[in-house]
Amino acid sequence: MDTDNNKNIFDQLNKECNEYSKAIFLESCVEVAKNGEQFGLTTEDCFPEVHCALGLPYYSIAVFGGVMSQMPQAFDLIDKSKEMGVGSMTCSGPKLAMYMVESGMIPKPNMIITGNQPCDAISALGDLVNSYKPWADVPKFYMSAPHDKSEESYVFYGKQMRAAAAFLEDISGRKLDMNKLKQISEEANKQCQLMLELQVLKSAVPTPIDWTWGRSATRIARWGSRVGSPVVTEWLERLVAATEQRVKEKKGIDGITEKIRFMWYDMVPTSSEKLFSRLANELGAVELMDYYNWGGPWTPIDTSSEEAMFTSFAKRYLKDTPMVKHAMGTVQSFTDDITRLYKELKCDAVVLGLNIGHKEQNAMYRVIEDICRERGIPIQMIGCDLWDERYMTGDQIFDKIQMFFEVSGLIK
Amino acid sequence: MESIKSSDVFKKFSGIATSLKNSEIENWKKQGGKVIGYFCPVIPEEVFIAGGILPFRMRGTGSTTTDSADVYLKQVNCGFPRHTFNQALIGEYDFLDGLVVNTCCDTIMRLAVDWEHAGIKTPFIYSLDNAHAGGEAMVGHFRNQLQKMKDAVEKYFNVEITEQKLQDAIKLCNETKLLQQKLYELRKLPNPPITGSETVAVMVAGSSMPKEQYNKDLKTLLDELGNVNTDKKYSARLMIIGCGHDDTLLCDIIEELGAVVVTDQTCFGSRVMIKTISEEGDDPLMSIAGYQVLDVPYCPKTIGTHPERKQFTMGLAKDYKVDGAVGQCFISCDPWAAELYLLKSEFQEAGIPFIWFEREYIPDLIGQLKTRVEAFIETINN
Repeated sequence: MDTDNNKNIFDQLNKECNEYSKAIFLESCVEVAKNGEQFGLTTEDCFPEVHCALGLPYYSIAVFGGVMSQMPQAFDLIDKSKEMGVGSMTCSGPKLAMYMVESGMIPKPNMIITGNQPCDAISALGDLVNSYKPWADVPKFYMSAPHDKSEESYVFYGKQMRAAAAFLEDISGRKLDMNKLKQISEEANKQCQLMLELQVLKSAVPTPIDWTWGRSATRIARWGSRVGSPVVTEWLERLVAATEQRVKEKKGIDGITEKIRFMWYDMVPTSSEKLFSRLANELGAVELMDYYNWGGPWTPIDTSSEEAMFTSFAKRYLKDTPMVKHAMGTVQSFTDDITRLYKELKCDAVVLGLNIGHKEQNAMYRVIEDICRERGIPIQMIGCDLWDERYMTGDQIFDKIQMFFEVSGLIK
Repeated sequence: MESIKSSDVFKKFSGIATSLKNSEIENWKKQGGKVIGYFCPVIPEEVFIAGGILPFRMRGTGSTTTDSADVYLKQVNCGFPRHTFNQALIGEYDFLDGLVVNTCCDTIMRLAVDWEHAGIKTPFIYSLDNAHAGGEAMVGHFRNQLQKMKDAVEKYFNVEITEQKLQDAIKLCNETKLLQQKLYELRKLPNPPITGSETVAVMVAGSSMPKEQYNKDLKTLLDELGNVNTDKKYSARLMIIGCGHDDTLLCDIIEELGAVVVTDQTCFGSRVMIKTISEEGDDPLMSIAGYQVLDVPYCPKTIGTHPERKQFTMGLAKDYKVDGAVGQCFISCDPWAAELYLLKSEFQEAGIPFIWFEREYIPDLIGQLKTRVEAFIETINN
C-alpha cells in the first residue's frame, strides 16, 4: 500500500465516520421528531445493542450537552445554564444538558430512561428530565446501577436492563427479537475486539495514528444506532488494516516527530483538538488514550441465553465503560487501569484532567497521585472544566502540561 | 418555664449536638463499648445496635478549617465531608472503632479510601452500596448489601447479630422515632414550645449517644415542654429543606429575625423519624431495606423519587401550616441543588413562598445569608 493510497483510505474512513456519527447528535433527534418517528431519550445509554435490535432511535441527553459545549454558541448556553439556578458547582456538561431540556431545545421523546449512573450530576440531570412538565406524560423508567462489583450485582443490573428493554418494547410496540439481539451482540463483540486490536496497534512506537481515530471508533461502535451493524465492523476492519500497514512501515502520525507519549485520563476537554495538536506539533507529545478513545478490553457478550446476554450488557456497562467503571468503582480499579495502559501503550506520562465537576475524582486525587508515584508513573493533575474553556483555556492547560513534562525530564 | 433552654435535659442535648465527644460516649467506652461512625441515615443504625455497638452519626461539628483535609479532597468537594474528614485527621474522631461510608454521594463514597490512606487509626472501615432508585426490585438487592455489612460487622467485632437482636434494635429505634414524632407534633401548635434551633439540637443528639438513654431523656424533655410558656408570637412559620442540617445556623438566623422554624425536610430532622420500621415479619433486614427503599425514598440521590419527595415535603408544609420554606444545600451538592431548583417552582405554584441558597458547611457569609432571609420574611409578612 503506497502512502497516497493509505492517506486516501483514512480520508474515506473519516468521511464515513462523520456520516455515521450524525446519529448521536441533536440534529438527528430533531429530524426524527420532525418525521414523526418514535424515539427515546436517556441520560446515559447503557445498552445500545438493545436499541439497535429494536430499531429504535435513542439519544443520550448527556452526549447532547457534551457535543453542544463544542459549538460556537457554547459559552452563551453555558452562561444561561448557570442562570437557571441549579448548583453552582454542578459539572458544566450535564448542566448544559439541563438547560437544553428546560429551554425546549430537545424534542419531546416517546420514552425516557434515567438512572443514577455514572455520577451525581447525571443523576441530577435525570431528576430534572423526569420532572420537566412538558414531558410529564412521557413514560419513564428508572435504573439503579450498583457501585458494588460482584457477580450478584451484575445479575441484578442485568435484570434491570431486561426490565428496561421490556419497558421499551411496551411503549414502542416493538417486539425485541432475541435472535436479532444475539446477532447484533455477536457483531458488537467483533467490533469491540477490533477496537482492542486498534489499541494494541497504537502501542507501536511511533504510534501510527492520532487520538481522534479511537474517538471515531467509539462514536460509531459504542454509541448510537449503528452499534452491532456490519457496516461498522467493516469500517473498523479497514481502519485496523490501514493502521497495521502504518505500523509495518514504522510510520508515526503524519508530520509529527514523536518524543513523548501520554494519556489524558478522562473525557477530553472542549479545547482538545487545538490542545492535542499543539502538544504534538510543538513538543512531539502524542496523546494515546482517553475515555473517548478507549479500546477496552470489553467483556464479550455471552449470547448463550437471554439472561446471559443481559448480564453481559451489565458487565460491559458497569465494569468496562471507562466513565462508569471509574466514577463508580474503586480507586484500585482506577489506578490499576492507569498502570495497565501506561505499560501497554508505552507511555511516558499520565495527565489527569481532574474536571472540576468530577467530584469523585477530586475526592481521591491524593490517593491516585500517591499510588501512581509509588508505581513510578509520572502523573499531573490539571483541574480544568472539561466543558467550559473559559475556566482554564487550552493554552493554560498546554502550559501546565509543558511544565510537567519539563520537570519530569521528558523535555530535554 | 419560660423556655426549654433552661432545662437540664435540653442543656445536655445541646452540649452533645455542639461537640463530637461527649460524656455518654466516654462512659460507653469506659465500659468497653465500641463505637461505629456512619455517614448517612440510609446506613441503618439498628444493625450496629443489634451488635451491641454504639452508632455515631458523622458530622464536622467544631471544625474551623479544612487545611488538613484539603490534602486529600479538593475545594470542589462539599464542605460537609471535608470538615468532617478534617476533624478525623486532627484526632477528634479517635473514639471511633469503626466507620461505615456509603454511596450516598460522589464525595462521601470516597472517604473510606481517603481515611485509610491518611492512616487514621479506625480499625474497621466498610463501604455500603445503597439503592439509588425506589421500587420493589431494589429492596432485595439492598437487603443483600445490608447482609454483607452485617456479616462484616459480626466478623470484625466478634459479635453475633441475631434476628431477635435486630428486632429488638428496630423496636428501640422505633421508640426513638415515635418520641421524636411527638416532639414534632408540638411544633404544629400555633405557638410551639420548642424552636427550630432547639429541635436541631435534640435531633442531632439522637444520633450521638446510646438510644436507651436518649429515649429516657427525650421523654423527660417532652414532659418539660408541657410547662413551657407558649405566649410568644412569631412573625412567620417556616420550614427548612435540604441536606445534612446538623447545625443551628439557619434556624438561628430565622429565629433571631422573629420567625420560627416549625418543621423540616432534612436528613438530621424529619426524614429520620417520619415513619417507623415494620416490626412484623421474620426477616428484619428485609424490613429495614423496605423502610429505606420504599417508605422513606426522600434523598434526592434516589432517582425517580422526586414525586414522593414533593408529596412528603408539601405534606409537611400543609400539616405544619408553614408560611414559607427555606431551602439550603451545601455548595457542590448536585442532588440537592437540582431538588431545590425543582421544589422552588412547585412551592411557588402551591402559593407557598420559597427561597433557596447554597452555603458552605461552615459559612463565611452569614451577613449575606441574614439579609436574604430577612428580605424573605418581610415578603411573607407583606
